[in-house]
Amino acid sequence: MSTGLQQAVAINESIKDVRGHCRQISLMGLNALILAQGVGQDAKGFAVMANEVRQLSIRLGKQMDLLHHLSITMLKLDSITSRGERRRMVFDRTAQLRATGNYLDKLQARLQQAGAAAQKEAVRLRSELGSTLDTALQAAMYGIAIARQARIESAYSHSHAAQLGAVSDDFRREIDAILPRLDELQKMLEHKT
Amino acid sequence: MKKAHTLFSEGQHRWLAISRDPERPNHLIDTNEYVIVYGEEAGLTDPGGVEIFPAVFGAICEAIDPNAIRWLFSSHQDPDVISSLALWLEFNPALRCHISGLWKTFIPHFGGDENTLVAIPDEGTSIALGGLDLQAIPAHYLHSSGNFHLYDRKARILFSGDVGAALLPPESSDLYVTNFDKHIRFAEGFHRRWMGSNSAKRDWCERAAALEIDMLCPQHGAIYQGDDVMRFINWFDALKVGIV
Repeated sequence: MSTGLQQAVAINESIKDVRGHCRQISLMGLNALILAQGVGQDAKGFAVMANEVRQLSIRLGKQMDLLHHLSITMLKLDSITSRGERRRMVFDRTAQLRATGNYLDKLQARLQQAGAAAQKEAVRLRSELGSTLDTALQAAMYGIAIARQARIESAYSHSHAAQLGAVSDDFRREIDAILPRLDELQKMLEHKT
Repeated sequence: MKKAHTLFSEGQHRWLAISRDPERPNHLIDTNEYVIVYGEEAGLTDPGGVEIFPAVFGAICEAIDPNAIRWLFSSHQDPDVISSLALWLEFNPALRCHISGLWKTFIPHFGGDENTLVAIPDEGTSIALGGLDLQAIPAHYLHSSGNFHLYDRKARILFSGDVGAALLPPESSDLYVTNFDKHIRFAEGFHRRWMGSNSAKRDWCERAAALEIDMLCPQHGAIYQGDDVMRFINWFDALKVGIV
């Protein structure tokens, strides 16, 4: 079983899931801004927070797009590695059956060289994925603070308090859904072979 | 890079085409792979060769979770069709590969064993995908002696393997046939040479004409849709094949 490829697929699926939540947050940010504008003076504080949500969603979205791009690159690299491993396995088996002299040694060396280059690139990719993930995680943590503040501001919007409070709660739920996924992604990346 | 394009989408039922790879080296023939999704399950037609596995796998991962793929459908035995089998099995050893029974002992040279390969009898069979039944339609001698196409009655799509294939110039990137007369010139030489039997061709044309087909999806070149489907069947019926 190609563990590396399976792990890359799992990472990619998690990133797709978080991207879905980010799209939701982006829509929520827009919706919150429109709502705040409609309410007017009473939602002035909430409008500031709604704008923060919008900015955050743009930042998070960019990070997730980058993560998605890196994860697809990693998938391709793992596919190429998987192809190389398959060839190496066939040559190994051949070498076990017969003394093949230098011919196979040269082939094996070439494959090993390609494998080492792929390995180096994989390490670089993992590190880039890791730092992009850190940035996304920080943005999501900031989201918790925004959600909390938006909840407080919604309470000052008089007759619209309940409506704006519900919007803040929805935003908090999305952020709460993202955080464990990002944590999980970090762990997956640490264990990625 | 190859990309997935949605051909059909109705609720939990989708057809995706993985086509046109601008990064593909010219010494490799361009191929189309099709992913059929029904609920939580997916099937993949003619997954392609070893060299294009990274491009196909990457494009699939962008569109769906590849763990959803339950089976591969191999229209016939060619290397551009199924030589990536071993790599797919590395990823998921539980995958099954549906192919003509004729090739059951040949294909394991690419990978897999008697558990991997599911032999399709000459007369064809139905292949289940979630709650959907797809039909393996006989297309023997077009061009391979054990050859099948895959028909989805619900989506009205026929995956037609090499039938309908066109060797398009590299700059052509249309997913669908836009000008039949212009397009068919790129298909003519291929069909004359690769399709070996006029009587098999006539049988297939009659079989295909009886099906309700909105899209005819070949393994190479652009997809025929709407009136172009019947136009293609009539053109093929009139073509003399098996000519060098």
